[in-house]
Amino acid sequence: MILRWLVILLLGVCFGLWDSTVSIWFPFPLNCFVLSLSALVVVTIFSRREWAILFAVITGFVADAMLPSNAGFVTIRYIVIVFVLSFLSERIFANRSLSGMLALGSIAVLANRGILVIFEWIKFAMSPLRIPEAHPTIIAEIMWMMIVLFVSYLLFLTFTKRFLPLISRSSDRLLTRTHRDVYV
Amino acid sequence: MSGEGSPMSRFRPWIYGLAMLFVVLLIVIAGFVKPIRNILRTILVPIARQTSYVGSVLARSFHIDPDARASAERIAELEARLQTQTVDYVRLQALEEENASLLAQAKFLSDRGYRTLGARVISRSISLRHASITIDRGSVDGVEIGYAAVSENGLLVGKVVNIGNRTAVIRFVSDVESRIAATVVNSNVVSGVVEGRGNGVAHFTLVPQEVELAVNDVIVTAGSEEKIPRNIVIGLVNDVESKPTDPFKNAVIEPLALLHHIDIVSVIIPGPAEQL
Repeated sequence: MILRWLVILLLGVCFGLWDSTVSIWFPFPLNCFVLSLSALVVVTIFSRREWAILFAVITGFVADAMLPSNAGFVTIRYIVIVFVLSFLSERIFANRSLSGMLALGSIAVLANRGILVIFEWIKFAMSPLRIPEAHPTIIAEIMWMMIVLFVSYLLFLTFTKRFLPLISRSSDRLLTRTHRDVYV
Repeated sequence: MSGEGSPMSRFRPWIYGLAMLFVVLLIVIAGFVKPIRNILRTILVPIARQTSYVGSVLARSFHIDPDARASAERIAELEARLQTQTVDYVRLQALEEENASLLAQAKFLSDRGYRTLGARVISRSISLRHASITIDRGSVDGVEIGYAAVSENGLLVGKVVNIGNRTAVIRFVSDVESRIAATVVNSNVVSGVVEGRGNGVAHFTLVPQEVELAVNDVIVTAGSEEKIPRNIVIGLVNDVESKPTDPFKNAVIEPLALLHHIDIVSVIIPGPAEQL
């Protein structure tokens, strides 16, 4: 268990550094690929919520520390996104489909941008120092998210040998019961 | 109560998550963000230097088309030549000006010196309207808010606007929030203000009508700001907008420091030359 937490921690640091110090140099459209957000969506959908929150906190802290922006609050944005995705994957997109995953990814990108804009409004209304975060083209960002989720979905199917993966294990008891009912 | 399937266990992840969000919000509201950021930066800056270097090298290697690469190299060569000649021109003008000045002023200028502090760009945020970078030098290295940062060729990149222990944020000249007192080269008075307009462009505004201004004039820092020395090249005049009825004229200027090619900067620290 500790090893898994360490892996999440290490991945959080690496992905946070990638987004804040490496991909910022890339030309369009590569600079629209937000690796940490894509990974956050994958972790939230395929893994436990606690791990997703830890990943969000670590990645967010790294990005907040490195990026020039003083209004992004990446950590808070990512934690909110974990909650939103968890809720939606349990209540609305609970049919474990690829289209559901892609919809969740798009919602994550839109939520990330929406919260960022709100934070910037609030921060810049309160402080004279305006250093906003760069906003990449949202369509390109969503496209990258779709690609990552599609590949993740395929990998998940390949390596787990399961045709129907769970969208979320956050309500694992309910889903497990459903599985048992289905397969038994 | 916390057994399998009980309401408590079902909501436990939500409770953990909300607690985490609450703690983070508390940290932000209580003003602990800066110390935490500083600690993280102290730990991460050495790694970020390497990853940032890798990123800049990777970005350069994306130009894989041979023709595009040759053109890009040619453009870079010409831009470098233009930059060098502009800097040389300004230096020559400054030297002529010094020679023509009074001895007392010349003595003052020779006594006055600046030291520079090399810094690597570890992160950046560039959009159409805004452009800023994070560098790996901070208050422990002697950097202060308001200091000027120049490129390897001595061209003004921008001003330090935010600072941590180990890092500082520099706002580019072309950022829409950027304001820098400037003048035409070889002029002894402050002529106007360079205001960023985004997308790599700036305007030279509030220039009195009596100031001579023409296309291709070199705009330099005026030296009226406490922490920014004079005669640092900002850019070239591309277009002059002037109406006889207006009290001021404006000019469109093209900052010479290229946003996308800056991975190393020097922060100019005012102080006696002996401290070098």
